[in-house]
Amino acid sequence: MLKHSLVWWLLGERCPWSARVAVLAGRWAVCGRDLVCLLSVVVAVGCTPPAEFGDNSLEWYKQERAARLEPGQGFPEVHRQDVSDITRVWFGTPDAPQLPLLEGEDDPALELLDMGKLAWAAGPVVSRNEESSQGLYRRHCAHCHGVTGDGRGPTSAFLSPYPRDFRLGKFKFKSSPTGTPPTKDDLKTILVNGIPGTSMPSFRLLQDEELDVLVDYVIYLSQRGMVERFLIAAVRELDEDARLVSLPDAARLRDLPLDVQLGPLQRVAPVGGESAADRDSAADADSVGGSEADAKAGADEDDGSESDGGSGAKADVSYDRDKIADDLLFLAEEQMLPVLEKWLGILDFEAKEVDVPAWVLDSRDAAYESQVALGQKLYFGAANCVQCHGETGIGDGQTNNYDDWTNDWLKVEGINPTDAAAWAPYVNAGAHPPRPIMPRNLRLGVYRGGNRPIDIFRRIQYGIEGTPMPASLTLTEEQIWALVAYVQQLPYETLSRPETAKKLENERPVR
Amino acid sequence: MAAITERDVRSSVAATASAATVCSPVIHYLAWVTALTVFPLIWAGGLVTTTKAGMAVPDWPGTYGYNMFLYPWETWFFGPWDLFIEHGHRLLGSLAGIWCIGLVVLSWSLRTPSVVRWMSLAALALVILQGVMGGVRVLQVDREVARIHGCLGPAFFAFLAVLVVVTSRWWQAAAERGFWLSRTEDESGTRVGARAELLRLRAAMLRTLQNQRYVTLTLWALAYLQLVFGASMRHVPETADPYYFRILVWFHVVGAVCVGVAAVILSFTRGCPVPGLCWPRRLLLGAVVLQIVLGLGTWVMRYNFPDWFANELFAQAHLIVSNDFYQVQIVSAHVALGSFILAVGAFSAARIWRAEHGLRTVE
Repeated sequence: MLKHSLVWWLLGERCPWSARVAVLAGRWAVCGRDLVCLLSVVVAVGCTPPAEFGDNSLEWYKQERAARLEPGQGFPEVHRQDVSDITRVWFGTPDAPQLPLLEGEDDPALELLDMGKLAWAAGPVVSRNEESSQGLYRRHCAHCHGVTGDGRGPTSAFLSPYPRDFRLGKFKFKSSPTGTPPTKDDLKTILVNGIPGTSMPSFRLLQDEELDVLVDYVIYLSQRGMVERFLIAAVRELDEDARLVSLPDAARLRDLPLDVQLGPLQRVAPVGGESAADRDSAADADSVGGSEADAKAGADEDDGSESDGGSGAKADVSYDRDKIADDLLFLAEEQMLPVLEKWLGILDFEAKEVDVPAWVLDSRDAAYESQVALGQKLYFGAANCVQCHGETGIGDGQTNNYDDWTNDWLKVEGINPTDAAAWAPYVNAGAHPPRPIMPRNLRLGVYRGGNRPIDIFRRIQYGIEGTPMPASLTLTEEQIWALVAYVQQLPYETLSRPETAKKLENERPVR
Repeated sequence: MAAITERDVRSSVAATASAATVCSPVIHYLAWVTALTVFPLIWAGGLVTTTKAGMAVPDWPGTYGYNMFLYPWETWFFGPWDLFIEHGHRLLGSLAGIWCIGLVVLSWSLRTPSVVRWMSLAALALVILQGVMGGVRVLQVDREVARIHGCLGPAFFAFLAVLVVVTSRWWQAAAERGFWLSRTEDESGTRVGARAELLRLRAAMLRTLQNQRYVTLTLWALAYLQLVFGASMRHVPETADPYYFRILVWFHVVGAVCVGVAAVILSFTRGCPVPGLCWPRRLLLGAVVLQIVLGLGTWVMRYNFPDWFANELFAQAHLIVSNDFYQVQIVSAHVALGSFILAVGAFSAARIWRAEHGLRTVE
């Protein structure tokens, strides 16, 4: 009974004890390391593990299940190593970020992201001078969003909603249409304004330049995560004995000289000179085993034994440099460029100028009442807001939906989200336990994407990406503004209006 | 049963003031000054961690190449917050170290009980160790060392609280016969009861003291465990598994309940057979209540209200502002008050132990 209660407390949520034990056992191996640190009574310098980008184990598990592999049978380890090595050589490490560039310093990726800003955001929190500190991402974001940007920082399990997983490339509150990434201004706006009612704070006390740095790094993490997901998906399409890059047996890409690892890609040193990765790689350029190293020494400690152990084998590795270059070019064009091009689109994107009608801002305006009435009609009618937000607008409509970050794995096998035993393996693989996404209570007058009329307009116009809130494809701008007016007056409306609402609902056309 | 008054203590202290084992008041005052320096030092350390300013100065023991004490004060005072708080933390730590050196010099040069001498040395060793730990944390960029640094500081503060008690006149008086004789007089100054009655009274007082000691020490141990969990949460590595943090939070919450229960039990161990035992206990209880409130506030200022309040306007409208004044001060106050509880608990436990010890030894 005690054990049962303890497990219950530890995991929270509605979850049977068997699933709790399964989840706890799965996490125990990881937590064990941290608990050893916690219980250590001696000064254990170096107990803090070095930061590394974690593999997307959830995506691997998802693809394994999608490929209908037998339970316990995963993809061969070399595939995991290939994806890990490729993402590492393309995007660097949390301490030494890189960008995959096909055109060197002229690459358009550098128009979007500034290498100097990435270097500023990356790495542990340290100061080089009195004025500013390095490692802004780990200082301000990583505790919730995780070093990898997977939304699995240490604090994430407790937060509601869970912190954003950048790897899907989806962001909720933006001025761009559904399916396109947010603009830098959108991301910066969220950083400045925060999201009320959630754990996402406002960073308005940071310098403007620091906010830009964080925005660039978030985009970088998102790109990296998206490319990694595509590479994992590509593994599923491979023949049984094939590999992403033409290497014999268990040979690893990271053990080859850097120029071979890069293939057709080039690197640009971050502001302040060459990166630590490049320095190390240059030193090893003529020798086999020139893997990247971190700016902070020690990041490769766990690989050391592997490298040493394999050094004899590495000398015997024979590889076709041109073939590897062709493979990497193919992967870059198929898996990486679509991601980069998608993000590059935001450089040319300009949110359409929208004039806020005067009557939206002034309830004494002659047109106001009629527009609110129109908005109400749309709410219960064509826009069908009532389905989720409920008749009274308190968000008590359809409450069993899940966001895309959950549906991404939930729908692979059609898992019932209330069946904890079914989703426990996914949680062990790195997912958060599923939580239904609740429609906004419109009567509180607080909207997470912003309280300005234009913010609500955008939410209705483009929807909220990654959530069941759809874009309104059929509504005109005038109709959207009418809905904005209706929604904005809901907090001040008495609850006697639902009677009217019921009448209106009855008048709704049968679908 | 007549209550003992401060007058009784003063008179008994006066009667024993000439004893060779009395500690110099200068040492006692210096112990107070050291403790009063360490409290803001701990608060500043909390601010450093809360605002993640610990790496604002990358070198140690110097500051950007300067001797720590020669660093331009204008740059420090009017510079960025990170530099201000981190360098200020170091300066305060140095000041505490200087006071500890003073304690050692005074206690070894004046006629002082040996326990005070060795405790002064231990205090100096602890403050040096704590300073070195802070330095190692900076040079190694290691959060694990920061956690241990965060746990050692409050222990040092509690140690100083004990030193304050040990160097006080009260400490000496509680071991004297005169201190306890007045306890057996009624309001008119007449001795009450026969020897059997006196023995019964003494047994009852010992029971009360013993209970208070057990509960106070239990509360202290729980509070320290809480502090370790809290420090582990604040210094959790960015790479840690979410379930590790979750376990820490739940342990911290369960620990808070345990501390609360211990505080309730302590409040039931009524009776102050000796003056000087009541106010630390009341202070301790008040601090525990305030600490629980601050703990809730810390969560809200860090992570917002839980889902239970999803439909409440105050919860949905609450916007967390990273490192704004209220967030930083509430979180740091929670940290500092935790240390304060440890210090008051140690102070109280030391006095109870001394009273118990004194009562057992006097005839």
